[in-house]
Amino acid sequence: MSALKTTIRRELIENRISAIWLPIGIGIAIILLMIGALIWHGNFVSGTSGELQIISGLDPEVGSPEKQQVATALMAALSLPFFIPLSFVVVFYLAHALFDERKDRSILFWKSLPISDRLTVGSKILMAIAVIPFIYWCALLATQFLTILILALAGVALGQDLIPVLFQPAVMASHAFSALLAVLLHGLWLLPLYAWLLFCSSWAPRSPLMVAIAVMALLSLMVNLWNTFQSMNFAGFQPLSWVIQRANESPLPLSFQLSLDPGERIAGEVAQLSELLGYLVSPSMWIGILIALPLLLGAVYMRTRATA
Amino acid sequence: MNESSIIIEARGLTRHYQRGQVRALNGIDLSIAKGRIVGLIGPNGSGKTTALKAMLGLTPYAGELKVLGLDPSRDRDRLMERVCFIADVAVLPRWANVTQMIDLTEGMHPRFNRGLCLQYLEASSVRLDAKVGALSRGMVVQLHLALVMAIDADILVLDEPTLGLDLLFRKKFYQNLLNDYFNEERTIIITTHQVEEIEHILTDLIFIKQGELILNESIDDVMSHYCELTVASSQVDQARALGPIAERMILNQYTFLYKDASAEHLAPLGEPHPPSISDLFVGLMTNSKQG
Repeated sequence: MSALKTTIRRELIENRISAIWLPIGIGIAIILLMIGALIWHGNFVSGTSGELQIISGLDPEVGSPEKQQVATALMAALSLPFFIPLSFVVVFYLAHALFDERKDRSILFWKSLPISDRLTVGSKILMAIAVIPFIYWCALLATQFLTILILALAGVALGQDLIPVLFQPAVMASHAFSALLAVLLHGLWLLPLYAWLLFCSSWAPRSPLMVAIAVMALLSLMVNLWNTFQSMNFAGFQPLSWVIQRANESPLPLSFQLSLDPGERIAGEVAQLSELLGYLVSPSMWIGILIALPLLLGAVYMRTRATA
Repeated sequence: MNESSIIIEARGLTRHYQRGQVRALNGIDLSIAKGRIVGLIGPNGSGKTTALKAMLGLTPYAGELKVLGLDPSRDRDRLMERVCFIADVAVLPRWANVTQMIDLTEGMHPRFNRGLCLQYLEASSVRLDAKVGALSRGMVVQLHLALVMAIDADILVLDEPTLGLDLLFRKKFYQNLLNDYFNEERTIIITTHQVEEIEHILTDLIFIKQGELILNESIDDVMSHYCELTVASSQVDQARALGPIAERMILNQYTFLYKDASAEHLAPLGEPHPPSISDLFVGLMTNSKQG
């Protein structure tokens, strides 16, 4: 356990900018933008139902349910600036996870320590599916909390007690839980893609991300050529479109329930939770995990043989 | 050699590359006992790094190999608890600072002694808050050595550890190794091209050429088996008649290398003296059939 913790710590030190400082920076930027908006414009921007709405969030004429809806919409909108960079960060992290140590030759130092290749590869995939998403989720949570707090404090400054209106512990906890579940399921759902990137990272002589994409593109091209000239075809086997489709079917981004009616909202949240848990029992999820396993074993094998 | 003190034993150790076209190791037999400092010397491409990699479980091989009673190809993780190495091309990760390197090594190695490492670093010019990427090559080697020497290992393998370092660093490196690390329970295996820098610390000598061992003896045995004789040009024919295994000529003086030559026969021609390891190496490498 101590070795696993240390290997995770190593990954966090090596990738501190993308895994730690970037989500903190995004959070700080959002909060500064919001404070700026409150100071200079006296209102804030919120996206609801796909249309951009500028409302006076602190207008005494706006009722509490609407204010709560605005707060929920704000929380929903805040998740995107975190989850979109998260996807890119994880993809680049995995593509370089086993490549950089070969490139800078530090692999021989790490191999001089009694840490198995299985543990090394395991810690890297754990970073991608759990640790980095968890850090982004924490940063999102802190930003959502601070955003609502700043809004409520601005209300207090204008003579309105918005704290009991905007702070809805049950709603916030429900959103937080759904978001955590979604980021973790997102990692598991994309595990075959992640394992493919890590596998390419373990052997590609250069540009592992380009190699990973090029191999898939080449496979797709060969399948298309085969289908053109042969009577038996593999129309269903298109690696690149399969990856895009799988990414589109991911639990992220999460949709939020913006209904004004509490009953309707709770029903929506329950439906969302059941949809998320549905991923766990979906055959497609488990087929993906089964595809990922040999690729991860391949990455372990290639690291065992790699000496620089 | 006492059987119970053998910690590395190879029988028919073989490693071929490119479907057998390149023979890095050609069925070598080898025994190394504990408490020795072994010099594994060979020209570029002779197979010495491959032999070390096989002992460290870093490359597949054929034949039998036991290191500390373990099979390196299967038990590398367990082996690394008792074996340390500084590989020729290994560098420490540039993204970490010195303290982080100490923390990480401590978390990953159960036999790492943090206090000892800090003690070694105090005596060096390496600052704890310095980033590895900002250190000079000499400092990186000092840090690497401090990390490795703070591990209570049974075997330390050094593959060209001082490559690219200036003379002062090289001297200090071996001085630290001998004074602070080596004892009769530990074994050190060193490969280097700078043979003259390690010849005074070695207890055993192994020469390897084209994947085969051409010498594998203790320094005492080497000194008792081999001798050199320097003669004037007028005595060259007599010296050649005694069957030298190699000869060289510098400034009109001829030096002959003999194996198991009788002192009685050599005495009339001059005073025999033990060869330096570099001269022995050159002599045997140019005439390996005599090894």
